[in-house]
Amino acid sequence: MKQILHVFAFTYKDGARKKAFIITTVVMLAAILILCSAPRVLMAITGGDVDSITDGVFYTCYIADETGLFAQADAALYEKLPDTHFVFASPDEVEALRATIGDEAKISLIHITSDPEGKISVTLYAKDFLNGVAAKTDVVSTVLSNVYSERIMSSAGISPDVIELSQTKLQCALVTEGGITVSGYALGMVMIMLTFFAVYYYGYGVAASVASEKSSRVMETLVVSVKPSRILVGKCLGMGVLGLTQFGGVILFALICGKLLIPEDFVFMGESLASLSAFTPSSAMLILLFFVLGYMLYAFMNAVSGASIDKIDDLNSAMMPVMIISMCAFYFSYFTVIMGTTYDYMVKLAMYIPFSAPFVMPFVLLNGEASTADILISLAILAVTITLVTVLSVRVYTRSVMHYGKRLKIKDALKNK
Amino acid sequence: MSLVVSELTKVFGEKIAVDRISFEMESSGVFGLIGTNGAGKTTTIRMMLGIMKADHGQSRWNGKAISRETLSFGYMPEERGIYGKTRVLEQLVYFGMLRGMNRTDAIRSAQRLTERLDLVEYRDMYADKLSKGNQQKVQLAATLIHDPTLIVLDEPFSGLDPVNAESLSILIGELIDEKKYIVMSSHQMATVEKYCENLVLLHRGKTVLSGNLKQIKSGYGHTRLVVDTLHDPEDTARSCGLLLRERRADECEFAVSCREDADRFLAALVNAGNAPTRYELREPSLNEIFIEKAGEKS
Repeated sequence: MKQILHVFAFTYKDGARKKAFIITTVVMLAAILILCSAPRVLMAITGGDVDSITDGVFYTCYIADETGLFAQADAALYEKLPDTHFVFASPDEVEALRATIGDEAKISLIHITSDPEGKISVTLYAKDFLNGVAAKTDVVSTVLSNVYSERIMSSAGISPDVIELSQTKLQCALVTEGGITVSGYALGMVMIMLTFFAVYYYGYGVAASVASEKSSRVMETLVVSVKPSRILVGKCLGMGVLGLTQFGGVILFALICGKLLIPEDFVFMGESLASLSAFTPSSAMLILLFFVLGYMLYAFMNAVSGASIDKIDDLNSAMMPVMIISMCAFYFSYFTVIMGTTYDYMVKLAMYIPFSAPFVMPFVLLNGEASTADILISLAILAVTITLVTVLSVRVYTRSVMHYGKRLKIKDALKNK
Repeated sequence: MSLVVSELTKVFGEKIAVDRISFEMESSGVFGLIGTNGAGKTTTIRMMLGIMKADHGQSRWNGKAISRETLSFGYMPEERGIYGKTRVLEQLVYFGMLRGMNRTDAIRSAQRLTERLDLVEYRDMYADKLSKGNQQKVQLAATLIHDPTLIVLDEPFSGLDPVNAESLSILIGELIDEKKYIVMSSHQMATVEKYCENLVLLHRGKTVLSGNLKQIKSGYGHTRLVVDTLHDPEDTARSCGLLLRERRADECEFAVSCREDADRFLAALVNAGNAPTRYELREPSLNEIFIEKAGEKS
């Protein structure tokens, strides 16, 4: 136990002194400071109305109406899309405008035609689907439909009151009874990213540390003093606690910045950003537990990757299998939560697969979507997997650290010889 | 106290790296494990210390199998391994603590060793800033930090300049005085001759010679005659039936089968008015014995 602690302390101190660690920490703290300052900067620019930042006309949209039925469409469209200036154009100009649009993202064209049976077609030309009216084709469609129906109903002698009434848009108020909130969703997504970052960054640290000890032959000095299994555990713990310290420090800094810099009345999508209501003591503890277990699972596998090579240059290729597993698990978790709880079975699957559980569980916990049974099953599967991976890792690591030359095959490394 | 290595064997694939190597060390001093590169010295050491599992055989210290737990040993590997980005004193303390020392004792021992090895001014420097020779001394300090009973030095003199080699030489002498058990591997025969009383000579994983160095050499007898004369002595030697083994800048070496041949040659030289300024009848060197034995096995 003492030897594990010595390896742990040395690894921790050595990792904390590394330039890469110091630079990452400074960059993360700077990013948090900038993000937390952003609301105040936005409010200062807009005088408190954040939405007004997008006010003003930025785009021009030409309307080429060959039917003559949409004479009032420009005003109706401008009412719904105030950032766009709508101008009528002659149908003869269509080709010339299309040629211009190819080079200019701020110009678009609505071309309205009709076939011999009188069926109306609307075509929207834009440089891409990201900007201006092209990003809001549903609004364009609704407005033009209303203009068209108003024209038809008016021709049929229907009174303006009835026409207006028929075009009333029915608002649908959303009341969520489940646990997902905007802040829970946002924090959950952030936790998925952070966990992946931790698994990748600190896992890489473990692998690099093992590989450099082996390539520099320090390992030979170490193994005469300590059992390889103790080096492995001490090293993984050292890097893990280093990661937790960095994360803890960054989160603490974020909380302080949030408290001091984000105005309490700053609201984004109906939620106060200053609120961290999604975090409860129990969810925070469980998130920490899944974070630690997830890190340990990948750290042991990464340590074996580091031990399997002689030269530090081969580290990336040696880590590739573990990277592929972690990336697949990360994307599976990420897209599962993006799809939402409609795909409940997918979320459950992600919770039960030990490689994806550390990524998906923080999201599920922050959004109150996990039952106690789900959490316990997920933890149990993860714990069993970690135990198995640890046993296999220790065996492979012990064989690998003193093996130089031709790369050791996994089946040979697993032999108890 | 005694070190007994019996029938250690290691096979890598089809290749027998070490084939039933046995030796004993019954008293303190330096034991030589000698052989060319690839002879199996390092593999033997690794098996002996339990770092590598032997396919067959065992090594015992006072009757107990050697392991990290049963014996306080220090091992300086052939390929030096220290932390380049860690300060010298800090890593010595770390290695000491890994060997069971508490922090205070480890610091004290590290300070004492850095003084002994002329490393005081480098204590707070990162190891990769040191010269190769000084890095090697740091490695040696890491080997000795916990005052081990058995010290295993794998090619300790390789890469050292004459000054550092002399420092190491003095230190080994001090360790011998302290009654330490030292196993030294080397392919430099002159080094081994200087320190080792007993040795094992390895060639391609097999023992070609083992035992007490003096006895081995005396077994060969005084079969080398070195003379330094004013004129070329070869014609006189030929007339006495002696063969020239080697001609050097200031001397010639002849092979002799007995003392009488040498005396007859000396008399002939004097009679010819070519009396030698140097006349030495000696045993073959370890290097000569090794080449002869390795040649026989090949």
